[in-house]
Order: sequence, then structure tokens, then C-alpha cells
Amino acid sequence: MKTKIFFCFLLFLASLGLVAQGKFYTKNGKISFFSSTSLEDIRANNKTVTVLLDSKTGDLQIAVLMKGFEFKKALMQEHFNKNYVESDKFPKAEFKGQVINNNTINYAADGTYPAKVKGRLTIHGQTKEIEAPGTIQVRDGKPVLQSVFNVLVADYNISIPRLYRDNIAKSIQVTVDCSLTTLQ
Amino acid sequence: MSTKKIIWLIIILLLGIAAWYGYKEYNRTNKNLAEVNPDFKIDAISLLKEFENDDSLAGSKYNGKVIEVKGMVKSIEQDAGDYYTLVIGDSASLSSLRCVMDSSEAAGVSLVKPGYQLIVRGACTGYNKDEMGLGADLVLNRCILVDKKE
Repeated sequence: MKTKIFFCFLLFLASLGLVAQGKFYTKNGKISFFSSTSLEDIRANNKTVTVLLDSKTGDLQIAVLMKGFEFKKALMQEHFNKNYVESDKFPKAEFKGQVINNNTINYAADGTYPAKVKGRLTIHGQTKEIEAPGTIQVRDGKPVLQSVFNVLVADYNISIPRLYRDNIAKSIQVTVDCSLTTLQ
Repeated sequence: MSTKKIIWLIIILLLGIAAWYGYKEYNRTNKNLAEVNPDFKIDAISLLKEFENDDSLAGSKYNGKVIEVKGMVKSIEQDAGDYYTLVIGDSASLSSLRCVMDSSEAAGVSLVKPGYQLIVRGACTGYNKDEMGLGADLVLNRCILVDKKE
């Protein structure tokens, strides 16, 4: 009997481990960007970001629909989609990479862990290797990914017309805030 | 009044109109879709099928357009605050239409339950193919609820 209980207990622990070491995802992740110049500040928010994180390997995939960025001013949104990121031609931005210090993050224990992510970011059809610092906060056994990093407009072959060159920063601040749930 | 003065007056008037138009255009915000006529009216399953068959062809037809979609609610997701996403489509399929509801719709949307038949109007944002094993999604933003039936 005792052996049976012991094995049941082991099985229970193993099942907890499986959940804790599984995959997490969201389709409602948030990414915003911010451009600041002396002439104007521009901010856009996207609330429909898809994220998949494999907590076992640290593999991280992010997909962002460019038309999902919402600006306060409609004209800015139109210029962004039509002239800058050409979202009809390049509808999606993607990140494929890894949490490189994944072994220091305990997905089974609530807490805030510093994280470093490295991988390939594709925007406007151009792919660049990036590395971004951030945190993975485990809340009720579910990770929240947060990061702030900068991307250079020139790296992604986005040309800004001379008329607006002083209105748009050369380096854009990107903020990631994605609460993930367990993938069943 | 001399002809010169009249010409100057017209120039000033035209410059004033141009400045007013420029200012209004610069500060224009996205319209609430309740005030916008849809470019397309279609049922959710047919719309998803079009994207599954050829996503770039369907994308060039629908992306950026206002679509009124009829379909069944599979699930409702509520984010922090009053952000609701209605997931619409065939419950046997992994593919869905994800309608991100306008915050002004929160009161009406909070009463919606899975299984309801809805008509939703939204701006087509794009299609995520099933590249991560999470199911394919067509995303509509700034959605408003046009009609609901239990």
C-alpha cells in the first residue's frame, strides 16, 4: 500500500513538472513602439501579438500583424502602413529565437527572473540578429514576458520621406508585455 | 475694391481653408466602426475558408477593409481592464476569427456567451497562418457588436 501511495505521489510530482515545463502561449500579447523627436512623440500599440514559449528549451516565437498597430491619429496609422512598413506587402513582423539564460528561470516558482533573448527579428522583409534584455515574471505558474529595447529604422530598410525625417526618430523604442497561459 | 485686393483676399481665404483642412486631417482619429458602412458582409466560416485557400489573395481583398461577419462564438477572452476578444468560428476547427472588441462595446460584450450567434463589424488586420501549432487566426480590430442571438 505504502509503495502504491509513494508511486502515486511520484506520478503527481511528475505531472506537476510536465505542466511547469511545458509550452506557454498567448494571442493577446502587447507590443508598443515609441518614437520621440523634438517635433513630436509617436506611440502605437498592438494588442494582438501571438507568442509561443517552450519553457523546456527556451525557444521563443513571436508574430505581429503590422496592421494591428493602433495610433492615436488615423493619418499616422495610414502613413505607417502604406509608406513606411508597407504592410500590404509585408503584413507580419516575426521573431524567432531563444531565451539564452533559460536554465536560470524556474517556471515552477513564482518570481521575477532577469532574461536575455537572442534571435532573428524580421520587419519589412528584412531580418536582423537582435539581443534584448528583459524579465520573465512567473505569476501563478504562468510567465509574463517584459522587455524594452531599441530598433534602428535603417536596419529594416524603412525609408522616411525627407519631409517627415525630423518627425520620426532613427531609433524606435519597442516595449513588449505579454502574459502567457499554459498550452494544453 | 481693386482687383489686386480681391486676389489677395482669395489667396488668404484659400490658405486659411488649406490650413484648416491640414489641421483637421492631421488630428483625425480612427472612426468608430458603428458609423462606417462595411466593405464586405460575409459569414465567418466562408471568410476563413478564403484565407485557408489562398491567404495572400484573400489578404489583398480584405486586409484593411471593414468587414461585417456572422458566426458562432467559440470562446470569450477578457484581458486586464475591459478588453474583450470574441473568438468566432467552427468549434470543430482550430481556425478562428478573433474579434478584438472596441472598449466602448464592453457592456454589451460582457453578456455574450459561447454558442451565441453574432454579427460583428471590424477592421480586418490580417491572417496568422498556423505556423506555431496554435491554429490559424484572422484578426479583426476595433470591432463593434451589430447583433446577437442566444
